[in-house]
Amino acid sequence: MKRRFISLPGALLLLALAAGAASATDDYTLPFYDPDVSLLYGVDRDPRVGIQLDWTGKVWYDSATHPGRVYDNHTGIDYPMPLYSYLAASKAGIVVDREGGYGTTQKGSFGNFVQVRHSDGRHTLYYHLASSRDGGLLVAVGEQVPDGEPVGRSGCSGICYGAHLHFEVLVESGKDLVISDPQFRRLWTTWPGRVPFLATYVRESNAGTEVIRKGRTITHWVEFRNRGGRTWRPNIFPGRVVLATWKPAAHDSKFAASDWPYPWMATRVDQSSVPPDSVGRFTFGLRGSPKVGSYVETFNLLAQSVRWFDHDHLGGFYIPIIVTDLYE
Amino acid sequence: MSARWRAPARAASAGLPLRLSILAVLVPLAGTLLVHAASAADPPPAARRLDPADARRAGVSLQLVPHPELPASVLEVRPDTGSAFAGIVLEAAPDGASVALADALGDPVAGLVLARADGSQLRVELDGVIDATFAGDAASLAVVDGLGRLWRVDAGGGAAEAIADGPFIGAPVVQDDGTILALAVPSVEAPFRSRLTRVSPDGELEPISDEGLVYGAAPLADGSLAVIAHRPEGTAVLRLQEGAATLHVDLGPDAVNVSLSADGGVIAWESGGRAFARGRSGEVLEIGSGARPQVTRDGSAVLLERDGGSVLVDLEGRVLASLPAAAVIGCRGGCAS
Repeated sequence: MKRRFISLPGALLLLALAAGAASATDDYTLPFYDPDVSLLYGVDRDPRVGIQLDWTGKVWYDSATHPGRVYDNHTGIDYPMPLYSYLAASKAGIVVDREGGYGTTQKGSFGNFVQVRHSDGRHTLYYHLASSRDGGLLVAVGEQVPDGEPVGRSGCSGICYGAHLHFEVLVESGKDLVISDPQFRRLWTTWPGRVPFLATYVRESNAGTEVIRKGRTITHWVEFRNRGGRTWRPNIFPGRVVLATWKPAAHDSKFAASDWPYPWMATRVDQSSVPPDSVGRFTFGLRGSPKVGSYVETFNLLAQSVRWFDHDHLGGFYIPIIVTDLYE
Repeated sequence: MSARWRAPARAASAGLPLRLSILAVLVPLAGTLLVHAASAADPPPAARRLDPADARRAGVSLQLVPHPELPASVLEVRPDTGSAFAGIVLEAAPDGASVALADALGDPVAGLVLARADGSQLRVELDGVIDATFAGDAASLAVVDGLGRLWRVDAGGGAAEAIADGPFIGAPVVQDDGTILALAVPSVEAPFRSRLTRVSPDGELEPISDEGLVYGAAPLADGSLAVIAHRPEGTAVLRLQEGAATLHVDLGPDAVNVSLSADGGVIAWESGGRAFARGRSGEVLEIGSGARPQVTRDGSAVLLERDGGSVLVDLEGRVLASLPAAAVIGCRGGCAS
């Protein structure tokens, strides 16, 4: 038998050439939002049949499947997830191709996909999507997609035996696209098994009711633990992490104090950097502007211009407030 | 044979599933996906013949039911009562005497099944089957297995000869000179690029189209080749003749599972769960719900999957016949309709 003429996994040389540039990047995130999703199979970085080089660097001299690691000649990363799960652009880019004509679970030779080209010359590929008819494609060819914005929803079109996302990162090489392994090359700002943005409530300055004298301002702080994979920062855009009003999202607050950047944004994260598993604090004023009475103000975290956090994971964070005209 | 990845997937061009529910139980998640490596040291795939009684005992028996009353060579493929057959119909032989199916069940488990009109079966133990196409003389088939390898399988005895590693995907096309047209892909699981490639009998590969993502090809009566290509703006049907490609029809976005009549004048496709047909006048009509349309060679009718069975409709969508089981247009390979 003759060697196939397209040999994408065989381009180890190109992988090596690209590795240097990759080490400095810190701007790809996991292509989904569900924190319970984790990798089933990663990329096989060895093109030879019967030899598998997984994302941890381990070599397997067989053709067996190794859940959590790799299977032979696998060109992407498989993330099992429920049908119709939302998928996120791993990095900002422009949609260069898509297909949505196949049925959501149509067992066919081909399947539905979205392909995004990024400014660094890489492409990301989101495969096995639900059909266009079922809302599987959320972007059009030529559309600019911000980092983390939804590009599609999961399905099982093509050669697929259970809903999952087959995700690839490809590097341009002339007219070809060469397979890359974002895990091995540490392209992620997050890591396998973690969604980019997730937080849980830790504590606050006053977990009870805040009593504010009318016309006065008090200081309140709340702490959340960074359970996502991405470092929180106050000064990057898009993606800076801010505390903003919720229910409805980004409404102008009656309690906005003079230190609020906007009437709907209480504050940015206090620290310059909050790595995964660390605790970030958000300090802001609450002004007793409205008339005397009892109120509730609800807040959520926002990765600005990317996505809101899961409010349930924040414990449904809100502050009971009483505005009074009595002296303390 | 050790556990191997069974890939009874269906090509983009034509064919009907029988029962996928059992497959869904057997292979419920990608975690069960098992891959066997291609190796020159592998023994050739075994083939086993089941006579009708063997097939009944194994619970995989099928009936091929011709419908001479219909204005097309339609073969219905009915599982017998009690049969647990759960395969996908791929193609009928040009002589109508047998049908190729991809299978995931049975004893022995076989990737490729040739079911004959007399109730016997030939089961060839390939690593799954993506698609298979008969040669014009019905003596052999070109088969793409679940790993994307291309095989030539003798239709009489089931002997399988490896032709090229690929990976390939979709329905191969067997040409009169013995060469095979196949779609070369970087990955069977995520074929977002596919090149139309001529494969010589000894496995030499030659790309024959510049298109980056080809869904299928079909030889036309005038000697040209219809190439169904995906482009970012939509699906195009090209006509390839003497190395030059010209646009035949632009079908727009999300048009998949394209099928043509022998002269290329009638085209049917699927989009958004609906089927459409374009007649020789160029008029496009929706022909109703359904999947995987197959245009008859003369272009007079279209066979569709619908409601678990099959329907034959005319080019305005009027139902000519409803069949309870999967069916296939006979003679996709080139015999007279």
